[in-house]
Amino acid sequence: MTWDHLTYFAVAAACCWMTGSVTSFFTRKKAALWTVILYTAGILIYASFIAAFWISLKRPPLVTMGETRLWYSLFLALAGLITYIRWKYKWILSLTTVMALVFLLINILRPEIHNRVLMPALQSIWFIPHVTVYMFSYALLACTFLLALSGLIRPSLNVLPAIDKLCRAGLSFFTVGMLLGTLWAKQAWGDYWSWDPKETWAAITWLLYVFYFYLKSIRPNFHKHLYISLIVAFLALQVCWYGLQYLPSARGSMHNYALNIQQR
Amino acid sequence: MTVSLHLFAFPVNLIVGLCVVFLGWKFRKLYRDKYMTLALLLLIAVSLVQGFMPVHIAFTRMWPFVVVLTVFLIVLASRLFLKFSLAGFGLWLALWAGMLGTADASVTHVMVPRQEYARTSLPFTMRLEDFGITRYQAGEPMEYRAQVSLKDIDSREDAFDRREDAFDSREDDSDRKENSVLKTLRVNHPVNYKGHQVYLMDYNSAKGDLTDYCIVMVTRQPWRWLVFAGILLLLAGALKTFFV
Repeated sequence: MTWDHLTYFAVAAACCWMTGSVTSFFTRKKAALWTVILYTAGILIYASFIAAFWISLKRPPLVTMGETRLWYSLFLALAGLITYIRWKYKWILSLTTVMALVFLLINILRPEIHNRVLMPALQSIWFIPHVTVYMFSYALLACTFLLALSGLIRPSLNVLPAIDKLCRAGLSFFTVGMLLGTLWAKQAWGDYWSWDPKETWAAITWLLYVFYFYLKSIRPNFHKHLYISLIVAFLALQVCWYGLQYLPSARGSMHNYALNIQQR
Repeated sequence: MTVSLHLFAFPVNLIVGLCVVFLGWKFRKLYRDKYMTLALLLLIAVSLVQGFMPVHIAFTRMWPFVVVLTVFLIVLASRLFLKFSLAGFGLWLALWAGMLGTADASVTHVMVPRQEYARTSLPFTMRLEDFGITRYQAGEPMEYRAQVSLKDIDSREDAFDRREDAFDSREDDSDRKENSVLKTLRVNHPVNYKGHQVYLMDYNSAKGDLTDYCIVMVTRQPWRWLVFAGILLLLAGALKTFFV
């Protein structure tokens, strides 16, 4: 299984996700069974590609940016499905589908093929939990971003209860990912926290999401401000994830596994 | 603008830390959410400054950042006095111990040669005994393994040894072997030695397996257990939200 096969799986999964999203608009109240089945089928097809890819690589596909995007699309679809079943927002599936497909498309057009073997620096029990937990939290927080955008565009929608739950879960996962990272950093780099650019931006993102909860507590009725704070936090998250490489501060980041001496 | 760490070496950092606790207790009215929101905004602002700066300018070690972090710790402490939370206390402990412990922490890079023990300012010295690289089939490295012998330096004994050297160098050599400990260093697997942690950082890649030295990093962080405890508490607090 290689990147070349991704297109077939992506097309199959995309068909499931899109028909699932469309059928979600047919029923009025509860989550439609057909939608759930179709969407789940799409997730399973896509997950089976990642599993087969993992096996053929003989290492977890978590090293390159393209590989983390694979997981992001998976978790985004999963988070969308959970939100749909739990809160019955019909349009959330369309949004997560579009977003998951954008990241899939980027991977198909620019796969960044590094069939690299796993370097010693990444051989750690912390590696898989650290990255997958982060990717899942990114996906949950992307849902809050989409909800906040919809709330900003159509103020009549009350999306805050869903945002609250998703943001709480997303922030918890983010915290766990970050703390697993600190424990790993102590083993690998000698300190729990060293203000590496990636760490600094993770801290900024974390603080911004905590800030949202406090802002909500002191200004519960300023919905517009709350939505904007979530959008700003999501932008910081994008910098933390991949935007960092365009900043001058990224040079010399220990998270840059292509350049670091220790990671040879 | 950088904080002079030696001014805050133990016990000064502990006194400062207790002052933070006292101020948190004294100004318990800071527990309100609006003060926390303000403290968070300040912390976000100074973190953003570091976020846009090149790594080598350590803004987090400069006064503006340290003052804001201290204010944040005082506000967080005042909240904890009124309403305790696991995650909040974990965060507070990790940041408090992390900040204060920096003054007592040390990082030393040592070049460890094969033939002789390295000259260091540390209370112990090291010598490279063996170095091995395991490779994948394609030739890329899978594992680095450095066997290093570590030995305490006792300044008095050392001087005595040197005088003895003239009479019988062989006996001295066997003595040294008995005192040394053999440890294997790998990437991601540091070794603990007398309150220090030893990390494998680099080697002479031009010579591969036959490298004539390896570079290790030796850290000492007396406060690390408090930071660790804080991280575990915060982790427990974050996991708790899934079950409540």
